[in-house]
Amino acid sequence: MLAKSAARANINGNKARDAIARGTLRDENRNAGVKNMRLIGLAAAGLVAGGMGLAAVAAAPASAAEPQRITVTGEVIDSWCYLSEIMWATGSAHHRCAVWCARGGVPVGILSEDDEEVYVVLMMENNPDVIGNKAIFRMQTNEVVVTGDLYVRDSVNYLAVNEIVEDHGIVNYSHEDFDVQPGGL
Amino acid sequence: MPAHRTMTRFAAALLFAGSMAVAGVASAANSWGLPDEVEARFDAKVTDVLCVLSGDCPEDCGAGNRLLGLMQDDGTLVLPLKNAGPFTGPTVDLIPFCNQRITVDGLFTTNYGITTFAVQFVRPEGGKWRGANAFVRQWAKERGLEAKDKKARRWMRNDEAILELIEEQGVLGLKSEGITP
Repeated sequence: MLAKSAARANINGNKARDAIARGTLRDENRNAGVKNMRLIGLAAAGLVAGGMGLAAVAAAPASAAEPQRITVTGEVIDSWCYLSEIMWATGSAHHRCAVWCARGGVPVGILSEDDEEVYVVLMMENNPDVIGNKAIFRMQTNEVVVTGDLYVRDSVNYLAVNEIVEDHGIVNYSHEDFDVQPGGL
Repeated sequence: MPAHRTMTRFAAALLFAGSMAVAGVASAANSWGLPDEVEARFDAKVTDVLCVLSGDCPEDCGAGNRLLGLMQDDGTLVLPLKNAGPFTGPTVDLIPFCNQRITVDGLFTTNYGITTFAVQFVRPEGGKWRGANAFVRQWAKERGLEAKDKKARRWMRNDEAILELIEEQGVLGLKSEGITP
């Protein structure tokens, strides 16, 4: 039983290492010229530690911190389609799909235009009811300027939007390049 | 995104996803070919994310209207973005287990330095595995349909709120400007 469990853990460990190899390449492709071997080494060391059964230590959680008030200008997006890259997931090409997903309860995000950070919407205009909220899925694809409280936890930016300062509507005409996403549906 | 922030978050995300994979037991998840996909099965408490972050904690975790997370025993907050249904999220699958421990099976994906989770199966403590497709089941039930009904499987094509909005905004969202596919 123990041997079987160890074999399973090893299989998962190999998958993780493969994922890391792919992720490293992807990141290098996206950030040409960015070299920070110390951090890569840190990640690799962490995985080795995980493989030695110290995963819980390596994955020590970030401690809760006070939120930071920020202003973000960006597009309201479907967070899943964007992060999973299963299709082109911004602009008018993806508007209908973004509406589908928001109605279906996929968390909505804001993709900032200046640094391409994804902010997962935790509240909208101080309303915590963000899942399947009709007022929110009506805003999909719009470019907005919002102020809110930013919480960063375990790699995710959570934004509790206090105020929508401006709503510019849809300004990203991506359908001119990508037609309607997803195609065939 | 500034390079140093990208790299720092990238390293953190790798640590996180890697440790999840190593610490977990065998997963039954189906691969979706996601960026840096890692199959995983783990135990966690269904948690209201806003409660964790701000201390605003309704007893019902927001009754399915709030963002839900999966809190692991070591304090790691996992963000589930997707369930196994078409164009649907995991809230309906998770909300029955508000503040309860469950086992989930699915896929971690890491992209842009952000690690999230797709829930494919859910098992309540002491209970049986069920497919994470509750949104469609609920959508069908509310309309007197079976979940396997074609209309339910293509719920996004038949949902009244979506039809109304697409009629108003158009498929591209630009109908008011006279732009349609």
